[in-house]
Amino acid sequence: MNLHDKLQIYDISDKKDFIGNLPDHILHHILSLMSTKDAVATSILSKRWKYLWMDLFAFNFAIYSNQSDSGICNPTNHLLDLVHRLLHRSNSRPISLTIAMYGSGITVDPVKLHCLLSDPNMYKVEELDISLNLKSNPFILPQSFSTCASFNNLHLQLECVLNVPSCICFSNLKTLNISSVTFSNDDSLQKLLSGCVVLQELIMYGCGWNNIKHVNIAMSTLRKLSMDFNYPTDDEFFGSKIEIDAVNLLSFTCSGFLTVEVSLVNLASIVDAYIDLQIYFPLNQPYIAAHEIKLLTGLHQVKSLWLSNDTLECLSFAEDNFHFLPSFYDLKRLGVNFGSVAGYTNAFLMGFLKKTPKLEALEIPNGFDPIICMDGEEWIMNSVPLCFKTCLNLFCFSNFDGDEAEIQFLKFILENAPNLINIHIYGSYNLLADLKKQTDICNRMKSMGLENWT
Amino acid sequence: MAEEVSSQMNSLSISETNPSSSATISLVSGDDIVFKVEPTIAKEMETVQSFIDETDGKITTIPLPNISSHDLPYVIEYCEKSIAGKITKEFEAEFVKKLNNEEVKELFLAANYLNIKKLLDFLSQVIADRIANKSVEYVRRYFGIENDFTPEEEAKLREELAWTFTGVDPDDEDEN
Repeated sequence: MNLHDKLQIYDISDKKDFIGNLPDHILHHILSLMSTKDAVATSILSKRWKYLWMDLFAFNFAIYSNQSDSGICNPTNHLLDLVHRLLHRSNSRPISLTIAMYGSGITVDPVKLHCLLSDPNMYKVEELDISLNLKSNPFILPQSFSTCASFNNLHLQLECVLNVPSCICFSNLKTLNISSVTFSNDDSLQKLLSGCVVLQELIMYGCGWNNIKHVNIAMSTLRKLSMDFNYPTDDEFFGSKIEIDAVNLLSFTCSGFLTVEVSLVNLASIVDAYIDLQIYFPLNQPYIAAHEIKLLTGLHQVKSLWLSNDTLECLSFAEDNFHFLPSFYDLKRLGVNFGSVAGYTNAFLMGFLKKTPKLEALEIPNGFDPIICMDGEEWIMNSVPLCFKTCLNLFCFSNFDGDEAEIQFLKFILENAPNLINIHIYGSYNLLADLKKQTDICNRMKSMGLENWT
Repeated sequence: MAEEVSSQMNSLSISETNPSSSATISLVSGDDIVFKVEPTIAKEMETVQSFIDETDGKITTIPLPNISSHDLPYVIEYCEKSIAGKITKEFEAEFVKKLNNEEVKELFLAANYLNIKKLLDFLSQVIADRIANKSVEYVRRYFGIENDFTPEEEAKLREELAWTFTGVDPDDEDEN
């Protein structure tokens, strides 16, 4: 074919049939740019389009409905059937699959789900994200699913009591996010986590721990761990214990109500930790405080630590146990977020600072609450933490209001931390709007020897 | 912007010219309008460039029978922006604002024919956006697709895929 023919070859005089002559790969490209819902709907266009969308690689099936009679006859069953057909037909690269069904009008048949997860074609799936409410029915992960080697990233948000089979092994799983699940017993959790032999990231969000007594697990490949705990239910008995040995863990995050005793052991590699606990009604505070002491003890090798106001306040209920807290000899950087209910927090901050002899940087990102102006004086002056005198060289105070307690604290640090090189103070919006106060504070700063601040 | 020159020739054949004498490339639209463009612009159009390469640069007048003189300036404008490195979200938004559905489709075919990857990707997104959340009938009309399902087959498919039709935009009159 000569070049002239090549240029002539397309005849698109029939503009009406716009898409008819285009090759599949062009249509796939357009489909890949659409939502899964729109892409699936194209299967009704014509016979040519019926299966085109199934050649894609990423699918996000989601039904959000709050109407009990949306006029659709059991959409979830149809959707699960469709995913079956997709798995069967797909013969391309590994696929990423998201199935989410929420809403009061949505009921998921556990048998159907079990059937889908047992599908032998599940081995084609590399990333799987399932969010379903199974109405707390006990649900058993199918045996074939539990040994599926293709999973790289697994997100199971299943509102149910979860049982796992006797043999479970996700041999390639790097990221596991398990949320809303109530573990049926120690054995289930133990086997699930032990079966993730190369896991690097574990996220446990809002799980039910009622049936857990004591689980002890070693996860040597784990690098990142995030745990969030729900508001305690009435039957929460605060006696659950989980001990995690994670020698390669780099990063740890914990938030919510620490109803479970989490012991982290052997954290030789830990770099940063972020603790944002919340306070529960007084009756159970001693439990949470004891759990917190335990948790912090496990983190004593951390280099960078962030504590929320409530986290510090919880410590106040651990008064008797506070001395059990070891020193954080590796801690270089501490961030403390004072919230709106700061009460005794400062006293415990000072107590905690005595446990951090090598601290180089202290950051207060949210300023102080004006309420603590009242007891501004006494908590500071008792004694100066060692790190102030020896190694603290950076102090960063954001959202600075210029209130008395803040200024007192600043003064205290300036007087007692001779090695401070960098001091960053960022004014709050309130302060920036108040020119008179700004001038006043500028003068006070100058009298303390501080010339420039933001 | 490309210089638009009315072609004198009725039956246009590939004219042999000495490459050193003319630095520009002439693109001839389906309705015989000649557009003179810089060789760098031609490089953006893989089909044109491979044509030039295969003739060792001797041929610099290239007939594009499938592209009308209405569409070709848009293609050239996009390519000019592309080589200037000035394809921004703002430019693309302005560019697409000027185009009706029919023009988008014609440009898409032109981009496919000329093999201009960036323009093709961009217009794919435009098409995907324009048929998002639309009814099956709308999309059929948009693409000019003839429904070859029997009514029974279609009804069965519609029932199975009912969940995909929640929240579909009501059909408005086609733009053109």
